[in-house]
Amino acid sequence: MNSCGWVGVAFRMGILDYEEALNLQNRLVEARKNEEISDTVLFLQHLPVITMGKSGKLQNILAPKRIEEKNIRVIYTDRGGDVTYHGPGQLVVYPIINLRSQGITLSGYVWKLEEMVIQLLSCFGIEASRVEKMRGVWVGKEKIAALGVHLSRWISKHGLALNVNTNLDPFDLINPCGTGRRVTSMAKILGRELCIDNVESLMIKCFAEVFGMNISLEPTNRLKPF
Amino acid sequence: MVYEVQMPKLDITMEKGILVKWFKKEGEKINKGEPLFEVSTEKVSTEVESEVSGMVMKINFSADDIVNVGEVVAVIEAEA
Repeated sequence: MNSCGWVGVAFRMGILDYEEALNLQNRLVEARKNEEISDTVLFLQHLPVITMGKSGKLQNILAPKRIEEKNIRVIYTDRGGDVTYHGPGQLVVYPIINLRSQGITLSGYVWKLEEMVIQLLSCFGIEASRVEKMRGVWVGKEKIAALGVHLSRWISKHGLALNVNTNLDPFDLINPCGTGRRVTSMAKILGRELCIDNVESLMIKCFAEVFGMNISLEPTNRLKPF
Repeated sequence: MVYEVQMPKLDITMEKGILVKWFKKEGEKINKGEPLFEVSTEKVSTEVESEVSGMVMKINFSADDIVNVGEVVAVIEAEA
């Protein structure tokens, strides 16, 4: 590592369709493999969508009819983990980073993602923790952040989703992550909606802190070639 | 030279993984560094690359099989 340490770029994408974001990630992963770009972190929200991970079980989609009625799409994706819901008000972070070149192990990576959220939540006075043998971040017995990661040549894709102001009703249509446990949000715990832009800014800071990355924020038009 | 590909221990806590899919079939050529198969542990799916170049002679597990770390998942006839 040089004296400048680990330098990465981050983009604040706003609200993005799931597949659009996935295609972008796929292109960024290829570019990262070819050393055309440096480590890149995307911060965004999704339009309402239910996604199934690699270890997803169909029976965890509890109400397929109602999902259809609500026009929520179900997408099968290549991240690890089971079924989850994404929607506006939920902050998503997708790091496209080379773990090997930073000496980050697989469990170290997951730990750091969780730690970022735990630190972020502590800024709001929310005490969150890990639950043994279950990934993600929990407040009491309820899950506030879910994660699912894909690695290709040690380059990461997918990441973590934190419920800030998320409408939690769609989670009733599924068995989130197959755990049988309930999901919560920052707004539900604090009893008020939060400014998601502020939470995102703080999340970028927490990411930089926990990963030890010097993040430079770039305008999204820099992603046009991808 | 015959090269046995084992289920890698991708992480200190990993004991077994779900074999998600094969990128190569028996009889196909593979280059060092090309992905051979994909493994899923609880929340992370990982592509595993071949450490050698050669021909995939035998594949011992199919998609969705749960494989212990260290088990031989494939055999490659490696180029000398």
